Amino acid sequence: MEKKYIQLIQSEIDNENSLDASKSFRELINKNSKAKDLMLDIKSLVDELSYLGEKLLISKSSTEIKKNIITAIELDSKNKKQTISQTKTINGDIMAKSNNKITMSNFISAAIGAAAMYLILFASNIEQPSTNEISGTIGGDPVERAVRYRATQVTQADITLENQEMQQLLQDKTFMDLVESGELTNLSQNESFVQLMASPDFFQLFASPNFNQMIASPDFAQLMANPEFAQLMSSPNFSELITSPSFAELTSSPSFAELLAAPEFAQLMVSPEFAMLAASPDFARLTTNPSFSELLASPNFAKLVTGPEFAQLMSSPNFAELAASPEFAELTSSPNFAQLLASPEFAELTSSPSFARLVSTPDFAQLMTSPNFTQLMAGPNFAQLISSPNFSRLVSSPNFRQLMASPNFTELIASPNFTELMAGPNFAQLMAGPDFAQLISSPNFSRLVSSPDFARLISTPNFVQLLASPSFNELMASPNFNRLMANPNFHNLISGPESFK
Amino acid sequence: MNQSIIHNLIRKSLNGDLKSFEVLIDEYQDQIFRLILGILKNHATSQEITQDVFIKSWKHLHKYDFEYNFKSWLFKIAVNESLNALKKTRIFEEYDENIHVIESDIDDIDTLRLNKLNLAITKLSQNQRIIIQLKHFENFTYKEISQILNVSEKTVKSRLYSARMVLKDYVKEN
Repeated sequence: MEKKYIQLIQSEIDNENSLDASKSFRELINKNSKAKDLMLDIKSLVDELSYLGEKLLISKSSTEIKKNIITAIELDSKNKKQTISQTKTINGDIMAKSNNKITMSNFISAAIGAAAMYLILFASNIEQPSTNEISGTIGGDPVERAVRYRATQVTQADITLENQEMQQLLQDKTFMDLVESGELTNLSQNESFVQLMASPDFFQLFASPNFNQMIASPDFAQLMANPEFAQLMSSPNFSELITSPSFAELTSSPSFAELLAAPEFAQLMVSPEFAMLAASPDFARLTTNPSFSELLASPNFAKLVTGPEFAQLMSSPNFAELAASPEFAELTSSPNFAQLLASPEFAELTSSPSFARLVSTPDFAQLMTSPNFTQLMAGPNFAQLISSPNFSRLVSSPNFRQLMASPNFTELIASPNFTELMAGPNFAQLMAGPDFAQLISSPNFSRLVSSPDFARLISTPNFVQLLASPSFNELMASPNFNRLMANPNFHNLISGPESFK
Repeated sequence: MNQSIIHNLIRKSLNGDLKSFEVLIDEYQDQIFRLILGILKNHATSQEITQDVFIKSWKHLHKYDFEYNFKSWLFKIAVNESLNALKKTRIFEEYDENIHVIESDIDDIDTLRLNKLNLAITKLSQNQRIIIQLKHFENFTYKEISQILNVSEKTVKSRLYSARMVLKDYVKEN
């Protein structure tokens, strides 16, 4: 049947015909039986589809969606205004650490993820033909090579890497054992992994100069080679933790992403006060104290931080002056402070055994009196972060508390290499940039870290050993390697569907 | 909700009144979500994209042309965001089963028939599926669909016809 008749029939059924077209339609139906049959067929289907449309239960979108939209819009408006209020707290020390920890947990996951991905790329390279053999032939006859278009776009400088650091790594026995174990292959076939590799979040992070500077820094190499780091990686508690649904939930929760993306967070991360505190031995000592984790993980802590009295105190204009002052009496005379002390949340917190244990430790006292700590408290960045609603939401989530309760984190945080890394400018810049936050909060990343393949790989002893091996660290620090990672063509190549076959 | 009320809400939103924008969210959130879910077939990602659609529409509200149907404008953003998400993340490989469920107030024979038709829709190509959703579940006109998808009305008619023929054949065969 002619196309114009088909469209005439369809438009009539869909009430889209003009009066003249409707007249033509009626004439067509009266004289053409095939047209009539087609009309009946379409009509019957359209009726059925309309009935289906009526009877399909509208999949209700979550009520969370609206809340998230509004929060995002409010945040956006707030960021534009950039109002700064100077606030601080005596309890700020506790939260300062919680902030550090959440950063570290993400950093660790990202570092492991990055390392795993590098390794998979190498493993894929081993199994694949060399660069010269990448091109194939058409029809089996070596007349003309069909060059894969993406491969040709990676520059020669990128490929020279294979001859140097790469070869060292490939000859590393630990690496070979890992490849043979099949764990790398399993992960490379994992759907979440493939998705993450193909995601712009992943690429953006790898292409960011901050990330590349950080992984090339000697601090990073030292951390990777640190026995404590290796111990943490291989500990079953750690793999359980980062592969747990609660961890995935936490990292994929909107409040978490919001916190990472908040300007207050970025400002704190790049502040020199923060870097100094993170690198201070006082801080390291306190964070290894079990009471510290216990306190952060306690529901009382979350209740206090999210209570209205706390918020009031934080936003008090004279609080900054009070807290900076050595005269404690002045602080206690503030009506906001009195309100906080009188709040049931505060009473619950201070009467909890974990709080009492923490404040009675010499580590706590030492940190409180350390100049680094005082400086951090006196700066505006910390106060801004602590008083942001994102922060309150995050610390009150059960996932956060579970994470805080893990003893492995504190062990890592206390290691000198880690604190050195934290205090370095590269790390701070990375944390303050949007790329890292975007990757960590991307659903692909959460899915990958919570996948059993990932858990299996990172708990493999060979994997841990390899992370600590000098050849791996040399490779990571190589400028060629960083350039390769940041090359968009290379990203296209590895994220192509054929890469993992 | 008629266009003048909607336009009034948009004007207020443009002046920074978030409450007015919330009313618009309430009005369209479920429809937008249903469309995105139909395209992406994944609940979690569809929720994220629904959020993105409204955040984006808030940011670009000043670009909205009052001559244009607001629902079409919003749906255009939704379709674009969904297709971008598909390109970026390949989530189409991760289908959620039973993304749409039939109401239970109809008899078994009807349920069976509608389920069959519903299943047939999931077998359509992406372009065909979107057209069927826009036409039959959201009741857009050819013109509106052409604006949403940025194609000619002729293309809309042709895609709609081919989608219907695929559905007809599938239902007949099964």
